Amino acid sequence: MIPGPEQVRISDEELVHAIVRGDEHAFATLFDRYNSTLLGFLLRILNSKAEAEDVLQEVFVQVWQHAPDYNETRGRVFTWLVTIARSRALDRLRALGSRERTATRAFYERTDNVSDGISDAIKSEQREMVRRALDEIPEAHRHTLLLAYFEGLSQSEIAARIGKPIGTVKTRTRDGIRKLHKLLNKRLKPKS
Amino acid sequence: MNHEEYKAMLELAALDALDEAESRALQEHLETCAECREELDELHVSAAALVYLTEPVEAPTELRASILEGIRAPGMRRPSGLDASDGGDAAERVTEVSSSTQSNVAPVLPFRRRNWSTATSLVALAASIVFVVLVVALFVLWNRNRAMQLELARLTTRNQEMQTELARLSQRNEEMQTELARLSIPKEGLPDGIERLPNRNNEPPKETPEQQASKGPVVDEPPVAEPPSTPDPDARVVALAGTGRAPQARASLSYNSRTGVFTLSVSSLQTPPAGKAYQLWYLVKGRPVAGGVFITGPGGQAMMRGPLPPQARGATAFTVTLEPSIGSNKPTGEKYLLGALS
Repeated sequence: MIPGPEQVRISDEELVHAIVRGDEHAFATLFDRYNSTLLGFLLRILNSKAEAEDVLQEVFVQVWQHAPDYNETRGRVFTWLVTIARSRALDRLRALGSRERTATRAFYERTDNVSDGISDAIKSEQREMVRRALDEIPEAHRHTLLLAYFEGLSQSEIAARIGKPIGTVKTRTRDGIRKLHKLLNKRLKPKS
Repeated sequence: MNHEEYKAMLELAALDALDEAESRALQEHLETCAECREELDELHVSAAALVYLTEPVEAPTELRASILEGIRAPGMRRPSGLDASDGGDAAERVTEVSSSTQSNVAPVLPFRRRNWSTATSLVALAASIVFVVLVVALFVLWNRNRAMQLELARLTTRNQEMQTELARLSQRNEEMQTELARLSIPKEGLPDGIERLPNRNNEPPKETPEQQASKGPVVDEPPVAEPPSTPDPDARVVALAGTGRAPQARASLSYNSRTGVFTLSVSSLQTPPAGKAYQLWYLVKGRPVAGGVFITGPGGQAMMRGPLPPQARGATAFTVTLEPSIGSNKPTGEKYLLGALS
């Protein structure tokens, strides 16, 4: 039987192992696989194309230099990449001193537009799952969750932003991520 | 803090939303609690899924090339397992857990930035341009200030020169005023040392005080009437009689057509007031032609002799009026003597 494309696709973990060995081709493959997702994510946080591209470069340089630090027992490669990217982006945001944000809910507006050239059906399917899961989370919980994740606001900052007690904010944030986790466990099957 | 309390922190830890103290406390707990570590890892996966809410944006080709080139650059640290200076096995390397409790997140190392952000570059360029413009403007203003200082000095000097000239002209004006006053004052009224200039009847100019002093004492006497000369057969004589102003006054005007000289002899005509003199007029076809001016002495006498003005030839009548001491072009004063050819 001729193997399908998904069967010859190198897993993310295998790519990272190859990167550890200094395999530049594996590094390029990993870059090609996730650059668009990460750049879009960075752009959402930094709201600047130049800053987002700069941070993307930092992220992949860190991937190259610290590939041996990746522990697959602790999580997926994608999670590792996103965690690095978010950390770098929030550091850059704080360094820029910019706290101006567009409303979090603005980016959440559903859109069927997918940039030309993105043909990864898995990513599209996953994107739709996450959005449907968020739809089931109460609005107040979703709002505090997205403020915390995409803007890196502390709980007290969120409390000040929305005018609620910090205890309320913490409860909503915890409930929001917990609910999302349960919903995604039912629907989202992360693939590499 | 008990286990349940640490568990309650996991959701916020997955979002990196714990404060520093809570994060440190949880980190210590995670080192010994596999259950919490596993749950935290799962929550991280769910949190990372939020990335799918954003629209993907393909990295530009040049960015991709730059990143791939960057890992080959000299000085770029290779993946730790291939570091030539590292004798250890990469598989035995202990996974580092950052203080943020995020799994598989290596400490952020200093990264040599590819370049400044566009905004920073623009701000730096704008600041440079503003600085250069300010320096140039300062230089221009300094030059202008210097030029204006020089102009001010020049104008000050010029002002001083004009002040000096003004003072000189004022003095000259005073001198001329004095001279004019001297011309207007009868001889008797002149201050010592001031001599009257020659009048309009062609009297010879008075000698200067220096000239007179060189000749001896000056007898300041009013002109006296000379005794009438021997009648000239070529002369015609006209008698002038005093008007109501000077009814006692008499004058005799003789004209010698051969010599062209006239002689006026006046008697019993009172001395004119200061600043005034008598003037002779020739009436030619009723139009007065100015003659010379004279004053009478205390005895009321005067004589005037000189060539007859050409325009006075053909005069048929004669009169004497009181005019300013320098004379007049036309009669302005009262008539004192009148006479006509018979």
